[in-house]
Amino acid sequence: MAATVTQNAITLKGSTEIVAEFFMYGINSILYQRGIYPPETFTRAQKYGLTLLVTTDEQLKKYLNEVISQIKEWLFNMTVKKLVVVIRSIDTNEVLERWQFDVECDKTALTESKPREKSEKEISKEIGSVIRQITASVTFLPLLESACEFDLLVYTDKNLEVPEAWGESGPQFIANSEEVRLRTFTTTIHKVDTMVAYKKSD
Amino acid sequence: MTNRGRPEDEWELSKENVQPLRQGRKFSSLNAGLQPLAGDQMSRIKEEKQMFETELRMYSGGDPLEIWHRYILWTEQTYPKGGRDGNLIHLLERCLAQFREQERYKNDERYVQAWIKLADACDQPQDLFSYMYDQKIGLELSCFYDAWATVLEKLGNLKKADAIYLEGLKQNARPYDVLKRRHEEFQKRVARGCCSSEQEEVDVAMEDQRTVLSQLKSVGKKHQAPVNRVGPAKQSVQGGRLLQSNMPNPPQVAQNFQILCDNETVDTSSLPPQTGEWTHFPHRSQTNKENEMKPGVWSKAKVPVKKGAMPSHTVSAGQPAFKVHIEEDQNQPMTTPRKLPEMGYQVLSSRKPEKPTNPIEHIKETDAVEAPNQRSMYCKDKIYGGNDEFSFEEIRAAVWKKKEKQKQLEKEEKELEERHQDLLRQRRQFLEQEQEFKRQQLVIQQEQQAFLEECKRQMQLQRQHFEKERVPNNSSRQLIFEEKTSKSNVEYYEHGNTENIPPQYLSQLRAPQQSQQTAGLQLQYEHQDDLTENNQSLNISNRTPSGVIGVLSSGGPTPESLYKTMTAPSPTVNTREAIQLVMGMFNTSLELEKQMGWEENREDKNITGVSGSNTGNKGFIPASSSAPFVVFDETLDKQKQPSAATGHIEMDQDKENNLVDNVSIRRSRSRLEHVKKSSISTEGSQTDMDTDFYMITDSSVRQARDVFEDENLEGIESHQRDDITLAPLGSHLSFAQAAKFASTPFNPNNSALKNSLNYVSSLNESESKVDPKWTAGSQIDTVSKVETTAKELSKELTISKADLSPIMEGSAEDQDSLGSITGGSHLDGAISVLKQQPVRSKLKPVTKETENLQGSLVENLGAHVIDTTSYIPPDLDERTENLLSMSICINPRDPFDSETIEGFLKQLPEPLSSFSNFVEEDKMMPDIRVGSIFIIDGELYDVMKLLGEGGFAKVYKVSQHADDNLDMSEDFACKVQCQPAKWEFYICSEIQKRLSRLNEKVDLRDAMMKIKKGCFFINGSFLISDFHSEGTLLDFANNCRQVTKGNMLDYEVIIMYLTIELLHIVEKLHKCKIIHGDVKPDNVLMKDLPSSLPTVKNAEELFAGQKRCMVLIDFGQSIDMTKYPPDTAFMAKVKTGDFQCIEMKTDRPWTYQTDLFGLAGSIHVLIFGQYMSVYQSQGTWLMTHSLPRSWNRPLWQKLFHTLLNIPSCDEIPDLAVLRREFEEYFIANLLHKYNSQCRKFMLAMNDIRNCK
Repeated sequence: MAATVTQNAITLKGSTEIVAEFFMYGINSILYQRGIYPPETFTRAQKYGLTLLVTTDEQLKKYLNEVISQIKEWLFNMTVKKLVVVIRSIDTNEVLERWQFDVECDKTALTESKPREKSEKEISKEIGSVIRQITASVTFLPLLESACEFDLLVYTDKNLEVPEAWGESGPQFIANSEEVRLRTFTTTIHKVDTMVAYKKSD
Repeated sequence: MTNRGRPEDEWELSKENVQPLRQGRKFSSLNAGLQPLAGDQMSRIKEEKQMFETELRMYSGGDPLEIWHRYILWTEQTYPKGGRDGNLIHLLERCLAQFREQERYKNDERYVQAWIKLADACDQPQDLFSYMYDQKIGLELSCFYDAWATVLEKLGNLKKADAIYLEGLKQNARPYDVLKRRHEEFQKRVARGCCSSEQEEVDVAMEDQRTVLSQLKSVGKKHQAPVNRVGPAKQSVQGGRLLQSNMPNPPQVAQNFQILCDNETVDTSSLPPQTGEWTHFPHRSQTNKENEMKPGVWSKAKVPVKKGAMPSHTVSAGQPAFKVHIEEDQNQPMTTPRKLPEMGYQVLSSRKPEKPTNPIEHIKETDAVEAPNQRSMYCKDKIYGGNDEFSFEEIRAAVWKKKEKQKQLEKEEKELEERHQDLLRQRRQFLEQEQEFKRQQLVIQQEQQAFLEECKRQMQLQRQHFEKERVPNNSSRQLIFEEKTSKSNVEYYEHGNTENIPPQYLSQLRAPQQSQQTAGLQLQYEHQDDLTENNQSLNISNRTPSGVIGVLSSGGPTPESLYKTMTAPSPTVNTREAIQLVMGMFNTSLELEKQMGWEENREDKNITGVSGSNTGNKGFIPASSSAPFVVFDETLDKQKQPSAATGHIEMDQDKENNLVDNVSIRRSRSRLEHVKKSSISTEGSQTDMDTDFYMITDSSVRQARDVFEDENLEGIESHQRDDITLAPLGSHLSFAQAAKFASTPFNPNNSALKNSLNYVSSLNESESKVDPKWTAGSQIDTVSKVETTAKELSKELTISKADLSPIMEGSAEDQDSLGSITGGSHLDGAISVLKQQPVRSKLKPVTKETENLQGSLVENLGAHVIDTTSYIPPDLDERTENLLSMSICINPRDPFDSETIEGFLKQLPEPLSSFSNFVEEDKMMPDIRVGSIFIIDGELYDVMKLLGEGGFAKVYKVSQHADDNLDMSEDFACKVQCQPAKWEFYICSEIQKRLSRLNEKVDLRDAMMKIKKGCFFINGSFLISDFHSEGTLLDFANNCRQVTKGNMLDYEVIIMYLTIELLHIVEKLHKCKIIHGDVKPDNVLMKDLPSSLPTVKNAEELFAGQKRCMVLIDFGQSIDMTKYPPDTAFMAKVKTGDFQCIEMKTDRPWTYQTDLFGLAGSIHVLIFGQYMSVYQSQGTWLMTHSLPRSWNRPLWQKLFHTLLNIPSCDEIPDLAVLRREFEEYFIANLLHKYNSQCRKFMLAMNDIRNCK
């Protein structure tokens, strides 16, 4: 009994882990789907009841790990507002796609120490559905013809101090964009919305 | 699971059914398309489709492909399932077929895209591409090559794909770089594929052929022949019976036939030659026909005759050779059969297995000729022109609609044209009217001239008579004189209404005349003086010229005086009057009633003086009624009207005066009644707070405005005149206003009098040329002179009146407005310029522009923001209230005013020229550019680069070469200004002097700009001072953001150090009684920070022992308080709204507060990297940014609070106190950190230095 109860209890730390993991897999999926990195450099992993693809490129892995760990810290402090994956054409430097993950933190969790109740399975399912949607987005996203690169932007609280490895940047919006909202999932402490913006085809 | 049912998620649920598009999909269309059919949605789609179809048929422009293109795109988006529902393929085929032969579209991007879309939709795209290649379609476009190569790549034929890329590049397909890139990417992919997989040569074409009679590897237990008989299934590549090869061939078995070896791999890797022969295109059914056709007795085989109707989509678009006659205006009652709302796709209907479609076939067959013995008698082309069939009615409807639209357009055009004509006509009418008025004016002018001449003559005569009168015993002569005069008067008035001259005038005429034998001018003066000094006798002179004559009869000034006044009222007259007026005002402490009473007295005297004459207006009219103006008689009669009307009627009595009429009359009234707020209240916008100075201008300006506003025409006066005679009862707005003027509240009975006063005064002011512009100007002149005792700039008004002195009010805005009155005969233009400045009734804000140089990382506005929205004006303390209400204590001078400053400079105890670093050269300033050279005082300076630029000055880096050694040079900063900056020069020297006198332990002389040399030319100046390569405080603040990078705690130590310095600088500056006026980060230059600070306990010791790390520059805006009387405060506002301090923005007096505000702002920029934004909350001014938590917040908050909330000019906070607190805290807590932190900032400064 106790075991199941604790399994369903979400702590702030636990929630942070879950969200960070989601980001990790989500970013990997996007990179694979949109062809930012060649598909051969991805390998399969099982998560959320799906077969996900994660990169095997060492450098990329290192970079992602660094970013995610920093984000974890911020999630823990509830200072992160959004995570944005910006996909940009290498040659023209034009932003072609913009994936935005909005994070809403329930601040009361900082104060109270009682953990929340939500089954991990449910969260897993929710996350899975979001990732499935990312995959399905191919139906309307325009084909990325040219070689692209990606950037990770994080929106934080205003007076947060910028850590060393990070720099300040603009929002990198897309002019004349079409926006599609995907599903949200919540761990009762963090709520994550997903949205993708792409250039209108005119 | 919970939110699966949302319609927005439809796309995800049906994702398998959605055909992805290369260019992406519109999300809305996607969702809409996937929705289970809703009735209205379907009909909407149908409508849109119908629109397209109609367009296709109706299009008559030059680019039919456009519609097809749009139609295709729409279909793609609307039918997400790949267009089957929308018949996409069919549409594509039609489109392509339509334009197949057209050369111009062969390389049109849209057309080629359509081909590519079709290729994507079909099974064997490579054939299609080959066809395109053969037909030379799309050869110039990269997309063609790209698409083809991609297809081939997918199929595995990499060699051919590569060849195609190369071909495209060779053909210089556009856009070239895109193709190049794609080629490179392709190559990378290939390379990767080669490296990563260990497959055998991938360039083995999948179109590998089966080899003839080759041995295959058997498959499975039963050793059956494999299904896939190409590639690895072959045991050997070589065809032929292998077994045979093992046996020695009996040479005798002659192989007299060759087994057809068809296994040479067709060179599929090369492009087929473009022979253009592909009229008939092998498609699958044909290539495979060997396998599909049933064998049969070939003798019986017949080629079936094509029978039956042609399928609709292959009907040619050929137009019939004749033109179908369409009868116009056919109004047939149409009962159009309604199309039922169509359902979408049929649910659950089985689809027949489709025959392999041959798109090319369809395309090619379009120009199938109809059977020769058939000719369609209907517009087949129109019916089948689009994708769908159209019915006749639809076609006709389309045609009809088009016609309707055309008609509508024409109608509108006509209307516009008519309106245009109307307007033109109206305009012409107005112009004509104008002309008319002008002409009349001219006539009147002339008449008046003549009249005046007459008057003068008469007056001369009379004067002579009067002189003769002096002989006391000549009573008889008197009588004679009387007779004469009366006669002359009569004569004089012979063309007038003689009956209107009451005899009493004559007696009165004599009496005063005798007593005043002075020159006319004096009389006039006296008259003028009267106004101010309550002299009775000459009041009557305030009349019209005609009235003058009447005045004569009642004892007005001599003709000569009038004459003189009429011809040349000298400026001094007006000035004197003005000054007296002002003095009067001051003396009477602005009490309205008194002054009104004062005037009233005068008027009373008027009344007594001319008692008899006050028969309405008639009395004053007599003279005016000279022959040319017989028409006045009528109006005279009209005059027995209520006073409301009298005002303006009066005015029209004298048409010749109407030129000075409403406009000037009102103004003259205003002159007299400047303090009567009621008269000014017509506009009502003026607040009671205004000082009198502005009241006058404003009222006159306003009057001018309302006059001008009412008639947007030239010749306004005449126009009004007409109106007056025709509709005197105030039908016009202006008349109502005039009436208000005329009938002043406290003296309604004297409306007539007043008006006559007006007449005379206006006359007095007017010259012989009664030019409305001029008159207006003169009135304003008078008025404006009254305004201020300060010096003011002059402008256009002076242009029109050469004799008037140029003392005008100085407000830029007001000037403009006034200038426009006089300068412009286009009064409508004047209207827009005339603005009231009710709030700015205080002093003028004209100053030099404040500069706003860099602002690099500063994100929001380029200046501090003061939010006055929640500002509640505080209850002013007594002192300030006094200051505000009494105009005397506030220095009306604008401290930034250049003339004030010049005045100061002239009165220096030591003239500027005696300064050692002062050089004056009586020539034009040399042109300074980067790279040029100039010589000052015998020393050569080389201009290196431009450091900064502002509104009035540029700062260059110059290097001075030592005389003897051209290699050695020293760098300086040279400030080049287009107006000689003597003030700045003086202030800098003065500061150094005063600081030396203060003799403080901590020496701040190095923290103030020192001018090494000031060179002054006729049209500009150079100021040469030390060059500091570390940049300004703004640069420092910007660079520091990167250094601190989130670790604000460490930042505090440096900022505090700099803050202490800044506080110290401003403190000492104020101690010298000098206000900088423009404290901002751009104006503080950085010098080197001390690299380490010793740990001492005593602040003075610490700071005294260090070199100064900042220099305050740009004293061009500074104010020397010693030049003003003590307790002076200013109300002027800096011209650019952004740099105003809180007091300026809230209309309170200020002295040192402006510097303190600037100081607060500069510190703010240092801390936050942004300009300060303040707002008021519950009486306290706060800034929007909050201080870093890791700092000593109470201390910093106290600093900002003190600097932003200064109660009044008497309670300027003592910066020394603040500074000492900071010093103490610094020494106690932060000093130890300084040394380590300082290094970081030095690096930041190095960066700046390198840029310079």
